[in-house]
Amino acid sequence: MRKPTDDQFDEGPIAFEIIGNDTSFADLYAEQFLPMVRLATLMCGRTEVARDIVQDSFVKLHLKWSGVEHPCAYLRSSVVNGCRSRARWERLRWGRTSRREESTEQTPDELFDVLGTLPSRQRAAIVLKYYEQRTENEIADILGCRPGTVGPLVSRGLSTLRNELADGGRS
Amino acid sequence: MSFEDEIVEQLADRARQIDAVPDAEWVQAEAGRRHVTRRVRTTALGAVVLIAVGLAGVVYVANGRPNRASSTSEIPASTDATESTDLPTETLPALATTGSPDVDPAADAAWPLLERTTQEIYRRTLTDREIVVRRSDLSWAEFFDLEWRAPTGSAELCMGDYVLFVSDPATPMSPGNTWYPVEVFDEFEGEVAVDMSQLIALVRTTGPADEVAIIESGDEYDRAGFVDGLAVLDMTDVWNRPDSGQPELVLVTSGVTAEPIPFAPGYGRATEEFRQECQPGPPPTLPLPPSGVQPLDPVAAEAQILDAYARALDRTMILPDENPPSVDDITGIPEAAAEVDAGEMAEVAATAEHDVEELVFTAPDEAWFRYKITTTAGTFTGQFGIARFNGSVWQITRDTICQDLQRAGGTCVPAPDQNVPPEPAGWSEVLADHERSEQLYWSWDCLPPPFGPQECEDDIGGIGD
Repeated sequence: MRKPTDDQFDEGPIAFEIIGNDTSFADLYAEQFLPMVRLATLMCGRTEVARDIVQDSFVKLHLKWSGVEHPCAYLRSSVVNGCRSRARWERLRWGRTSRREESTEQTPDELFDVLGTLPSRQRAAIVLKYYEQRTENEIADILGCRPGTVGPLVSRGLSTLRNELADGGRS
Repeated sequence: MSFEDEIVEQLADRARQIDAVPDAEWVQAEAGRRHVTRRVRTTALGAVVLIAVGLAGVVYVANGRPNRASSTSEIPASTDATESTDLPTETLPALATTGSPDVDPAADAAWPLLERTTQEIYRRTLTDREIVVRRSDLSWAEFFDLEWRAPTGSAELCMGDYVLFVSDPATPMSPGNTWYPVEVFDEFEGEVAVDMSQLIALVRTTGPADEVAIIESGDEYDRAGFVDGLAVLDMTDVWNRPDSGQPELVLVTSGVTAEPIPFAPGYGRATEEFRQECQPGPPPTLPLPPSGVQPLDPVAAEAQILDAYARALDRTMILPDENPPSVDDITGIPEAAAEVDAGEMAEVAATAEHDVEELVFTAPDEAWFRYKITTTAGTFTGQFGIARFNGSVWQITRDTICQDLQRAGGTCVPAPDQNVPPEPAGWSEVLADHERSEQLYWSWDCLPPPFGPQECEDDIGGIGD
């Protein structure tokens, strides 16, 4: 992948087209925008919030483009962390209001609603494992935790999903 | 279809329904705006520091303490502040999630409180932003007016001796507030204590070290000077590194570099009393199913099961040729094992130790066992395996072996079911009780605005009012 030189950075904002014609930032954006919005929506519940998180992650990647060796990995971590920060902020700002209510803007979906009630790390682990099909080691990398922590996160999240879905999401 | 397969399918279905309109131009404009803002700010700060250094040799901060951290080596080389500022910033949509790096810490929501109640003790100018640390001498409980309500421990033992507020414009605590409170305990074991404020590591030492650096695999990511025993390290690059090696700290005293020590953030007092009194116990693990009718010779049967499990885990064995077979169905297992051996977890998996901790016979021809996997990458407790008697030998089920292989990056096709024992009556209440109990130990849930919610929700058992 061709990357901008430091000189190009020092000259100010980089136009996408000068980064490269093969796998440029623009190509990466075109290729990864929607997958990242989908990932973020599954994690944080609302598409418009997810879109903001993804856009912000692309801005951060753009600013660090010359120093990031694995842009996709950086982007994914940034999106996941953005979703977790958002969840933490919402919890701190609004307390533990039911996120189920917030996530019913789109097509009613019981799994999606119950997913929204999980703590953010459990939710992230479930989405990374069952949507992105990531290994526990990869999930640990993305979440910044020990691999041994991922199994219990997934297990507890699954247990909650199983119970809540069996209960019809009433509890 | 297993429950997990259903989750996979439903998530994929849901994701396909999600659509959004890309806006690459906005990303470019916002990146440009932040780029320019950072350069202007760092250049201006650099000029101020240069003047201060020129006048006094050291930089004095608000409380009059010398701040060795703002050394000239951190000042951007460029003094050119003539950046183009005609980017379309006024048309940029606001981001919902994070603040802009150009937030002024003294103009945000927490400042009126912090200005009166805290003192600046550390300031460090990075290439793209400025980190400021302020200290309150009040304890965590006093500062936030919290009351300890957990069944064990006390505010004195379990809540911080004082509070540090860290302002990092790159990672605001919440929209409009860059100040992030850190609960700090005076007492710590070892050479250094590390507390985290999002991407900032606060390193404390009582020793003579002048500087500390964060390294990983020999690469240095950041370095900072101690000021009155405190140094601030920017962990952004460590956090974003593609590899997952173990970061280490290196202390430097009078130019002499000490042996690296593991980077181990602590979130509380590192004493046995703290660990026992101030934290919730481990989450409850499901019990094994109740025992049923026993096989004729349970001791011999258990020995056969343990032998079969050990043989099934032996990577040097070729499963299809095994006689008697240790696994009841090897479909997909050789392929998944090969995937593990070729993957990045190969060494971790090859050296993993499986310890069967408890085994019960649920029927004369079925046994459940709970085991623990100890690896160099972590310990996996509360794992469940199943063995069945096929009329002549005991065999481990395919699901048991596949769940171990999946943990190491191997994929069994078709996907196995997870071995989860049936939940005993009242199990959901047990879990709920534990979660409620856990909440009592987390003072973070009840911080006042702008650090937390308006009020603590007593129904979930928070601390304080």
